[in-house]
Amino acid sequence: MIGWELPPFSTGGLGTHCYSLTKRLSKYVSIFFTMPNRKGVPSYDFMEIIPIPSPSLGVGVYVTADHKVHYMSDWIPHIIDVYAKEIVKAVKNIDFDLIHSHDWLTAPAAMAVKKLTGKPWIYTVHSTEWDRSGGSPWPEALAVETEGLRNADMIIAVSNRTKNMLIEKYGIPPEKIRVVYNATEPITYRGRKYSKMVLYLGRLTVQKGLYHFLHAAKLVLEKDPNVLFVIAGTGPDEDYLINLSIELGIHNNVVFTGFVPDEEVKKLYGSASLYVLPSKSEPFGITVLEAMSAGTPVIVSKQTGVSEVIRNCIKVDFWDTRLMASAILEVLNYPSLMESLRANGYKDLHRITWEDSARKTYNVYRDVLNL
Amino acid sequence: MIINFYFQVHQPFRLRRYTFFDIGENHDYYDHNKNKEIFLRAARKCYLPTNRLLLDLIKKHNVKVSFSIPGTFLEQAEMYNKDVIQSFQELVDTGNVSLLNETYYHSLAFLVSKQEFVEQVKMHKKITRKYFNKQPVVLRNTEAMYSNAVAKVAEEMGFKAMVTEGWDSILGWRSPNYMYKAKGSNVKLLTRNYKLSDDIGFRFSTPYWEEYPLTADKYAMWLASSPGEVINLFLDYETFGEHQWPETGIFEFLRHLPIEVAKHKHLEFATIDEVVHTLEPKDEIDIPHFLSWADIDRDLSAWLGNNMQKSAFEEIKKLEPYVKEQGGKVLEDWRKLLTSDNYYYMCTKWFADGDIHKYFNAYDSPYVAYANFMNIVRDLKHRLGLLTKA
Repeated sequence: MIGWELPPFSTGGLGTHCYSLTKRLSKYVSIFFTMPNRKGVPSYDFMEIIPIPSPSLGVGVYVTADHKVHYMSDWIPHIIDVYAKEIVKAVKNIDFDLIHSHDWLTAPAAMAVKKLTGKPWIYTVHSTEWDRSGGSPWPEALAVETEGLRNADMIIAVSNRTKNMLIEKYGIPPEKIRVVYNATEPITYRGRKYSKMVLYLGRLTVQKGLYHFLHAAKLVLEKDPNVLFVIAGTGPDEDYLINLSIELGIHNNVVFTGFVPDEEVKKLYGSASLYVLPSKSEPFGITVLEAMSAGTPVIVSKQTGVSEVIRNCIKVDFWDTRLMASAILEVLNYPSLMESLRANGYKDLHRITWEDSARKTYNVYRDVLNL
Repeated sequence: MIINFYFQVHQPFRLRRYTFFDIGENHDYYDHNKNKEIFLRAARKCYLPTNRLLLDLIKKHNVKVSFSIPGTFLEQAEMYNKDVIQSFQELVDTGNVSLLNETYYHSLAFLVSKQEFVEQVKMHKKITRKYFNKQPVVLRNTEAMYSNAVAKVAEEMGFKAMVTEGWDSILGWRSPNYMYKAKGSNVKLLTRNYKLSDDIGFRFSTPYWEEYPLTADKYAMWLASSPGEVINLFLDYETFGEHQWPETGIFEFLRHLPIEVAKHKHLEFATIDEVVHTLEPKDEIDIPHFLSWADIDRDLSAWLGNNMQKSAFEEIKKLEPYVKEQGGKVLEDWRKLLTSDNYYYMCTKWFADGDIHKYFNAYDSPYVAYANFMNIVRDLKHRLGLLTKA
């Protein structure tokens, strides 16, 4: 498996996904997991980690040895090219049957390994450049992604929403795409719950629909000034959103937490009265499952992959701020609604498990290998 | 052996998505477009063609059937398609059709109070007389919800009989194919033969059913070989053309059934009034707790099973004295909120576990149904002066 990161050395959901999936997949197959070695690699007993030499992944502006100034936009392609060059050396002495990579960052590396060994390649799409960019893709990333998707032997999409996007935007034939949903590790929370705290947790980027969320918050606060909105996480839109909350005159009821460490995430999920994922375009939306697992009811936009698999939640269109605000007020005002969503949410989670995702992934392996 | 067909006709006033922001601002609760669309579709697919077919069967084969038609249905027919009323009137005018009484609003009124139940039944008596010039002798409660207590009220109101579900745990060794009597009152009891009723209502178009396809001659044979005095076939009228589409052959089945029935000398059709007049009770049946014809549980859990349903109903119940004091439109809206479907839409029995097989809902989910309903309850309180602020 060609990865990008693993906990605890991870910054995003990709690492968590790879960890949870490989842990269960290892019941069916033995796994060599490659990842760029930036600040060290973890070790696990269920698979062998193969570190690949890599430049470090910082943020912002870089100066390389040739005294050239680089921005993030050309640094990333550089790192993924290094990954592709170095991986070829590392996998020469390994015996394996297929290649499984995740997202565009690992696509060039996977393609290089396929070229070297001729082994079949499965490409899991966690998000497309269209999702990440909110509709205006970065050409470099789009090019890498498109080449990868065309060359992969089979694609796993994390939702039907993503599958459809691959068909429409990338011209991938439907029969080359399988859908395997994400799941969540159980989160237990036994502490207190706020009575009127509405949480969003995730990156602060344009595709998350936070502009509409803040407008919904304004409508909520007009009816009930005692609701607290917590927007947890960081991202490029942070300043913009803080300013927007001031413009809307709701800044006293909206808290921007900035970066939240893992142990605090659990507390936030559990202590919230309600979790909202208002995304404009979300391939999956694993935070929704995490919030449900922590015993918190959820409102989720219909433009998310996760809304395909969960039933015990309230679904609204991301742009329908009035209906979103109404749903928030309803959950906060009607205790039976909050309690029913919370209690029945666990029933969804009984169905949506990593064990199931791993079994479905293994079935894709078998199909690709004609087993 | 009497074949006693009774068809339940029903269309609720579905509620529109009434948001938290509508509370105190807007008192129109109904989804007029959707109600009209569904009514017109049902009229086209079920009511008009099935009525026409029955009229033909009455003339040709002296078929007899019975109907229960709630006030909420007649109101919608009046608004959306009057031909439907006329076609039911034609059927009733043949003399081969009996009508039943029930709550005007197809509602949970009995669970609110005896007084409310009696008032709604009286309203239904009045509208039945107005449109059909009939005075029914048989009472049915919404979704065949029945207990000794309901029969007692029926007796007080002058009804001779009631209908309910012929559920095994109630009947025990007894067959549903006889007339019974309620415990604690002098009310006759007709119990639904759910096996033979559901063969048409549910299983008719189920390919994996071992008896599929169900033909009229086979079904007539089953009727003929059933022991007892009366076979109570109680069905949603929408079975014909709506639940079972024309392509399933449901109309051909109905068209041929009288011909096949005629081949068995001891089988005859009768209206429910005739059945009540003719047959004497064989035994007394004690039903202290509510029974209904819903799903596999045959109790009230489809309407009042979960906490959302219970809380919604408790809230609405509390408003009874206030809406009655104010009367008029508030009382009418309150009564429409008592329609059983509103609570059924909040049911999570199948929904929560992800089994959507038998599930239908006017909303996205039971949660939205509940939230919506509670918003409307708040508005009602607002109108009643029970809330100063939304």
